[in-house]
Amino acid sequence: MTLVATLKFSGKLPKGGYLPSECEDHFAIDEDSSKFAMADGATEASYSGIWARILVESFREFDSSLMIPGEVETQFDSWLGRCRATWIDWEGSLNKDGLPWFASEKLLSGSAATFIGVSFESLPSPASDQLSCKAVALGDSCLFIVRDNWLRECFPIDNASNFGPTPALVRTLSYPIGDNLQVFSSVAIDGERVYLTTDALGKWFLELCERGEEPWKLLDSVSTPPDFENLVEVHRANRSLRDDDTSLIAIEIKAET
Amino acid sequence: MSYAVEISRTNPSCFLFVIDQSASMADPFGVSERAGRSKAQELADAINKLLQTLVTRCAKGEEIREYFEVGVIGYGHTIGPALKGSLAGRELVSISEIAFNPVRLEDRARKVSDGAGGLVEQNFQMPIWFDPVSNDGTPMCEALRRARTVLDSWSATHAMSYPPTLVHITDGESTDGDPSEIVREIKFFSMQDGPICFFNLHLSSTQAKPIVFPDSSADLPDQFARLLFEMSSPLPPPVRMAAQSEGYKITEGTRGFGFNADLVETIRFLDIGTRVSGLR
Repeated sequence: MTLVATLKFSGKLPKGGYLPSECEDHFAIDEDSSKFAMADGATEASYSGIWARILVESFREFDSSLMIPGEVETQFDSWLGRCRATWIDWEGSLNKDGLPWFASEKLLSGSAATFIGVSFESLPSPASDQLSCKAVALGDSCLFIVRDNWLRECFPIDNASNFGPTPALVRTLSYPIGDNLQVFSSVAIDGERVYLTTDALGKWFLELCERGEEPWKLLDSVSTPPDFENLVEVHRANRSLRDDDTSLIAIEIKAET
Repeated sequence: MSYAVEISRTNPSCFLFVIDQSASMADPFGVSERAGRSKAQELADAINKLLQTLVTRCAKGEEIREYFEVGVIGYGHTIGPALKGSLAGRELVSISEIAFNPVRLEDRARKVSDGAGGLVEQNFQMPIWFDPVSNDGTPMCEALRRARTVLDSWSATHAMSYPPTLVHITDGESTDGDPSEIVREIKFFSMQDGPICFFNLHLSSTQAKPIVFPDSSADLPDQFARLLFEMSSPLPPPVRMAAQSEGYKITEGTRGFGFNADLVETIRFLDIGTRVSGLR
């Protein structure tokens, strides 16, 4: 049996009252290489949607064989260096003389986003009934793995109270990453569901779990953009979901057909 | 919980600065790195820097998100709106109007980190909206009455917003009576998310040690200082967090008050005092 990570749904919505084009969450899905990435552009930074897009679109170049402790830090630094070079190219394409003073001023402090990237790989026999699942994260975009009807893994945040106003960020300026890089490694089996979310939906998910509820059932019921809009609207309205840019990638691990 | 509402374009917040422009503001700060400059000149620089900071907080690329409405009221020879140029005469303006309407842009240089432990000089354009004035008496009561009218009107149309922040900056005592009753009225008006925040900053002409964000009046030197302390609001949670992160010792009783502030403390006080709830 060959397992694959199959996309079930992906979608994103801006904060209430904002245009879809103003949503600063971005994600990228490469089913061929089984890589999925999500980034949440920082509200306080300028052009953070562009930086988030550069990060997720560059994740396909991340060498997932090196996503192991001791190797991943160097690999991440090198990958981030390439992302920053892409940002500098983009910045160079701006007509800076035509920018208002505040845009020039804010550009000097760069941009920022949270980031999570996950990669699945087949394992050789006798473990061919499993997929390796490796992830890197900076900040509070989340990964959840659900088996049958229980939450088996959550990464990098495992408690709703750990979401705060100042998550770690990947920056365009050359700040050192330090200890902020989080690394995850596990295996996934047939039938498991994997969810990637930005912080608002991640916090909502964990809060429901902590109350003994089963939020994955609500996520599993989402298969179209209107389903997702409805889910987000209902939970924003009852204040269980923070009114923030909100993104979801839902993946199912199943045998290749 | 009060002061928890996020600031958004739908629910912006408001900053109103009431600034002493009396004759004594022509004196220098007690301690100033830049000799020969008056408190009025240094304060104008601090206010312009603050407006620049507020605008850049709201900047998203080439756009400005309307998170704040801002006003500056001066009092001295006259009492009234103190912004200049095309914003002259306006009591409150949106942050995008501030952004797009400085009186002028001055070319300046500053030292910034080079990312490798050193400093490099960086040229930038400093926007100017507000020029120094120092003339006549200190009609504090009348100025605060004017502020109350502005904030009453704003609050009535922004019931769901993060409460306004009123920052009063002076270097001396009122010459038109005791402002306590007017301040009580201002602070009595409560929005859904909490009462209006009233902060006071006293500027020093002496070399006395600044007292910033105190939690009691025990160390304050005189009746005037104690009056300003009593009038000042406790720090709301977001400002408390900002003050803590800047190294101030903060308790539940800490008030939005600074006494004998020099230029450095003035800039820090204004920066911390305006770090209100999260922007959405």
